[in-house]
Amino acid sequence: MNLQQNEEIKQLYLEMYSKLFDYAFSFLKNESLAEEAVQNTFQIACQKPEKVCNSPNPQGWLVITLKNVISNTVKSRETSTRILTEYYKLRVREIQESTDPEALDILYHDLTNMEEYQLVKGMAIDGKSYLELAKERNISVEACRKRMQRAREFLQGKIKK
Amino acid sequence: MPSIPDRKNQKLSRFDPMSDEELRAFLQLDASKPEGEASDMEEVLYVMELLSVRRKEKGESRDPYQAFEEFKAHYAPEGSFPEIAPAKPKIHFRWNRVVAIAATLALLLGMIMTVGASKFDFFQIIAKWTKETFYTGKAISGNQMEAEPDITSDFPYAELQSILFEQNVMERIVPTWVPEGFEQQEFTSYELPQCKDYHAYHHRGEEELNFEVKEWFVEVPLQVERSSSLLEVYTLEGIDYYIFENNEELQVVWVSNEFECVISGDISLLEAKQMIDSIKKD
Repeated sequence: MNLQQNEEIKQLYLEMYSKLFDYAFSFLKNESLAEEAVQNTFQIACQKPEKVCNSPNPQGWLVITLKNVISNTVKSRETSTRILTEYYKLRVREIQESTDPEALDILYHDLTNMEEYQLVKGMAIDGKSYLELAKERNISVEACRKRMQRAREFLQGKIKK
Repeated sequence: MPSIPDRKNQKLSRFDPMSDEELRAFLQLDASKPEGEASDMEEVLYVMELLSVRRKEKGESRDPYQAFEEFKAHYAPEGSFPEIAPAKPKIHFRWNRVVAIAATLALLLGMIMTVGASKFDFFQIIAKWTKETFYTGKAISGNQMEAEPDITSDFPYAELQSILFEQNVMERIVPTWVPEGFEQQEFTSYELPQCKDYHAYHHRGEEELNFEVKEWFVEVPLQVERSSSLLEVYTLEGIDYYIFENNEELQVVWVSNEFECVISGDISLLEAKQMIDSIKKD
């Protein structure tokens, strides 16, 4: 981004932030997720400054981008929920087939200490944003996204075995 | 057949009486549209603007500056939005105040000579030198003009608007919006033989924003010169708003009937126009 694009995007941010938040919140009904959707929208704007700055309607461009971000957010969480549900069902089946009287306790202990499970649960069940999950782990948002991807792949691998 | 602007107004004004819940439901419906189904962006942006205005009126606005800091810290690409070095002390602004003080003294002297000592008792004028302001108030018993600033009000220039309404002034000259982060620190008013002067002062950290209105009892003496520092003449509803740049500050000057108005401070051109636009908005 050059300096002019910098300034234009910053001014757009200050102008549109609250309005885009209202738009995102109207659908997501979750302040953290709505906040994150807006931040991701402007992140995309920073990655494509020529598109937003040269657009005949930069405000409209941001709304359309936000819609796509919201759609991806919902799909991502639905995927996480599905993976989590399948994994949980798998472990419950294992308990039912097990003769170990402490199987349930072991399951609880495993789930509590399994970072991959807790990370995906944080998104799917607790409705946390990537930023909230990242702050809990003292890592960057980008690092959190990568860990989430690996966590979902890990749990999916367990389900498919 | 109605003109296009009329049809547009009717199309958008249908949202005005809707409740916040209905407006959010409209946005939710738009966000739910499948990929490929186009939105009526004019309607969506209008509804978003409506909700934003209502939030501000209730004092429920989210702070975009704080959000922007979060954005820079966690989401913005590395190296974007570099921190700008702290501004040098605004000695030039204090210099402007010195010039303003000297001009005011010259004006007072001029008025004494013009109006005549019999109508104007110079010794009744009380000059109070403070660190930040130069205030002259004519001691008028039972007619104190100075208003206590309502610093809890979210409506910018509410005191000035209130005073004008009390005097049956229907002129729309007061902005109803200031850039986010500015908080009102002071509102003063005083009366001279030829004009009343109102001055509202906001600040945002080191940044300042001034709005001054002079209500002239005689012909407005202001002559706006198109100097090299003139950035733009922004015309809205028949009034020319002259936007100047002076020592890294913007200054907006305009005349509306007997009112001479000036906005000056650390605002951008966009923010200046937004303040101007807010004057005429209901």
